[in-house]
Amino acid sequence: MALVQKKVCMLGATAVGKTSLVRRFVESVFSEKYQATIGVKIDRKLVEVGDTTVSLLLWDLQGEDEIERVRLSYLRGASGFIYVADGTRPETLDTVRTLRAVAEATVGDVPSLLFLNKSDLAEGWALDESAIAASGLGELPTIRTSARTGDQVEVGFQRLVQQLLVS
Amino acid sequence: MHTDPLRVLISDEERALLFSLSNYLTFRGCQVDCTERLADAQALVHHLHYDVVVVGLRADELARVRELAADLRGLNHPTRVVALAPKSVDSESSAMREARRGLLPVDRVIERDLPLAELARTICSALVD
Repeated sequence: MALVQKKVCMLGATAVGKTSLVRRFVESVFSEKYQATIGVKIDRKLVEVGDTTVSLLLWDLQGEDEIERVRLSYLRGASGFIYVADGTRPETLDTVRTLRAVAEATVGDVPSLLFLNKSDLAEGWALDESAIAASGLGELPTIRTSARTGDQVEVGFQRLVQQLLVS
Repeated sequence: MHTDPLRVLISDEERALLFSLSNYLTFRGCQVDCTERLADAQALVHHLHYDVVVVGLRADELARVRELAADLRGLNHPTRVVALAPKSVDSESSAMREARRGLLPVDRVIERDLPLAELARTICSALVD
């Protein structure tokens, strides 16, 4: 069985759920307690796709609402990106758009997904197709996720892994 | 003349210390990365180069500190390791003892139980020693 290592960076505004998504995917847990990430966390998960094992290095970067503070060196060597927006806060799409421009300028065009997180908060959901299209992110593959319930989290990460293997 | 900013990695489980130190050192012109988990620091040093790694010592993670120091010695880029050691309170005394006796492969040991501002200044001076 082949083993390949891929680095994936989680990018998004503060408190959109990046760390929770990683914890849900890697450890199958969710905590209601919010604790902002300071700096960077790096988690690893082995994902099997066919006869290939992907050692996925997930770089969970401190949420940045000030784009100039994103450390470009964190992004280098990334094989893919997961952008995360909070479905209850449309302004977090703006952060994704800006982060994406920086990431693409640094790393180039690599497989990427947009997670619209907190899908369990149906009453507060504020993102529809038109909002996504208006954000300029319409061509980015998008998936609604909930780190709290786990809905679509595994599916989303698996989808990116499969894109990584064909790119 | 060396004009690049000093690249510093701080790894400590105490968030207040991480936050304060990183702000202080950034203000002083350093390029600072932070991790709460020592395992993340171990991963980071294989991807990025640092001039100095500041690491908080915990009695139950001395083996990891040794691994980290060994990893750094094995890299081509010279990196100094500054350890923040607790006072010799019972639960942490083994870490402090080992550090004080030179049994840990670190370049400098600083007592962490200083007022935060003093600790930051001490670390800052240690970076340029």
